[in-house]
Amino acid sequence: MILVLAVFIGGLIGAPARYLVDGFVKKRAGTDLPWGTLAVNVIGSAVLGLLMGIASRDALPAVVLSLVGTGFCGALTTFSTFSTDTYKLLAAGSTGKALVNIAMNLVLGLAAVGLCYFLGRSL
Amino acid sequence: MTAAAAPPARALVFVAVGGGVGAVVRHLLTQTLPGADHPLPWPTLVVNTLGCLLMGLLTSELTRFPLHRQPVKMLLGTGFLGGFTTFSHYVDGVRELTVGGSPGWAAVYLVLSVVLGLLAVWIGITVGKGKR
Repeated sequence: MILVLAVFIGGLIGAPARYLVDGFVKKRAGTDLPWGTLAVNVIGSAVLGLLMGIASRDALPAVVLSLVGTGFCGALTTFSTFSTDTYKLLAAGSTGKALVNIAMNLVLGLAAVGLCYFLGRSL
Repeated sequence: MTAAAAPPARALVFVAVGGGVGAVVRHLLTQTLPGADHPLPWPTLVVNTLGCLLMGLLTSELTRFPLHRQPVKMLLGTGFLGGFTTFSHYVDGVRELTVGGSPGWAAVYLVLSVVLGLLAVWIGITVGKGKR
């Protein structure tokens, strides 16, 4: 039950953080591509990678993994908006932009989670 | 998004509550769904695909009454579905499969998630439009 509460609190913080970061990035980078979603996905992947890296070396309490990993990182990042944004680009005929959006999210997301995992493990 | 729709503080509360509930539903579903014995992280794949389907439905619904439905968009879209689906656990799953010696499954998971997500959004939007 305490773990479910931890996930809830993590989501309670992660989702509005995504909303704020998305708005902040959109205002500065424009809406040419979904830069805001890219930003939260890369940041959230980095934090989760770091967490999993630390967890691979020292046993972290389950409540921390639930709060920061499942709750916060899970809600800060979004797969549904990423897919919907990409679909809209495809439907508008911007195939190139859609492919660039997919590539950026995957390459930067994987790089963030991978590098931060090794960082967390060697901290 | 139209700026006049909802005051930021109210929007944040909608997003927060939706996000908290979405994360809990994801947590409970991923613990309940079968697939722990399979190399592919099926529970996360199912959650993300389902979330994309619902986001497609919601997107087509929202184009009907964009202003009137703005709180619904905050609560269900940005909040619930945003908190329900997860990009970080998806790429972490790809990392885990790669490092764990299953680069083939990692590639399958990487591509399948994106393809199913786009397909689900398309189905959701198409079904949503058909209901009008």
